Amino acid sequence: MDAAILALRGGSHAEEVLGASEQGAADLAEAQYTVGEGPGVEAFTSGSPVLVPDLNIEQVRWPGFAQAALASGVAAMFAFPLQLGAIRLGTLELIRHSPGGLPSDELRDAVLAADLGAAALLRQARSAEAEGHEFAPEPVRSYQDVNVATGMLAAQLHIGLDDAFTRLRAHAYSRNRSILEVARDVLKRRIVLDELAE
Amino acid sequence: MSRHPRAGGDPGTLPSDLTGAVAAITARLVGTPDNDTVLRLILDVGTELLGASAAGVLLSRPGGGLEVVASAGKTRFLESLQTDIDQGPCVDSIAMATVISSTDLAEDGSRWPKFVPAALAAGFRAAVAVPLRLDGQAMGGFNLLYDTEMTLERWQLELAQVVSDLAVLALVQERGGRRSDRFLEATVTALNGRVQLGQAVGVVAGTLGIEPAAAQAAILAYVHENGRALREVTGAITGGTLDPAVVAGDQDSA
Repeated sequence: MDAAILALRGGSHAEEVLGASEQGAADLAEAQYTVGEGPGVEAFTSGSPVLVPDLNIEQVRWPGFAQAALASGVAAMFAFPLQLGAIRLGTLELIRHSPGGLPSDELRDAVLAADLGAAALLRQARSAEAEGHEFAPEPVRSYQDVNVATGMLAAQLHIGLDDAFTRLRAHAYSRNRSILEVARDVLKRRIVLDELAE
Repeated sequence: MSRHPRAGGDPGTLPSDLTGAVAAITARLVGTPDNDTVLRLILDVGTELLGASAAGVLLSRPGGGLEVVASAGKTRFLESLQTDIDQGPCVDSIAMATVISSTDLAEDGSRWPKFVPAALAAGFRAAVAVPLRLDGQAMGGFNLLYDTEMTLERWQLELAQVVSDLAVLALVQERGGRRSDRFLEATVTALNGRVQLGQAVGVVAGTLGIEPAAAQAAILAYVHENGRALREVTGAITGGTLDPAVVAGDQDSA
């Protein structure tokens, strides 16, 4: 594998990148978050591994994400849900720069790694409780600025939070920018609200 | 022959259905499986995927000693551990909260002078003990006994540790109600709580035209002044039932 992402996921906008093997992997995670689609999103919602040996032929499945991923040199991606019992915590996503399937032994290792990741998160949550504070892992990329910008837009434009988030996302996507950059522009008031008001 | 001995489940080679088996482990835990199901599953992993002749889940008793809570295979010797023997891989594994293994018990007679002769007499040649860890301490062990010399491969040890974590979940559930579920939920709830705080900060900042840092300070001050839970307050702000002006006003008067 060329790169890996460990993402904590709670819902459609609730996400933090807990681990990324390199800057490019964190950027790919963010590209997925920006467009709201991709193997990781699908593995989390479906609860099953999503194996994509060749992103080129999945351009219809995830038009926005596939385009961004291919442009950054990603050719294959394999996403595994982190879950224990009925509760799903996030995803482990493995990235390759050349196309090709996952041999069964690597698939096995990946499934085990995802289970280990889930168990490790559980262990962290337990020790946080034992020490009397809330579970708050250090993300390598936090989308908190997006959440703040979402709330700000909702208040300023008198729209719902979901609608505000969708507008941030649409603005980023249409200008080929990352959603975090757009969010920071909103927070610094560098973007005229009319641009986002549609 | 002794390099790759054939025990119950052919541990020297990779079972072709391992991925399926691991997926099945997870699948069998979806919903609210009872403890017996989880423990049975763990023992199946021990005797099938890890090829042990005997597998057992043992817990430390609060007053000392061990209790066998589940076992499979040739279990008589395992059962005897809880009454007769105060040493061995399981005892060490719990004491040190780490994996202890003996690939050839006959070589480890001086390490456990009472355990080894008893294990050999019962027909076992190798042993692996994986700690059941909770809050950094071992509450018991997942124990594997082999009737031939045996070296587990790394993936097998990882698998043993994963199922040990599942055993802890199952056992904690029985002893502490929904405690383990709470740990899992806590990770998701904490994430959603952070998202909600961010949005609430944005709503206050956007409504009042102040900086996010000031908005966050106002929210935290309001929570403190009114003795309310942070999550309740941020939920009220994002839900539109708490006026940002009230939140900030409270801070001014504080």
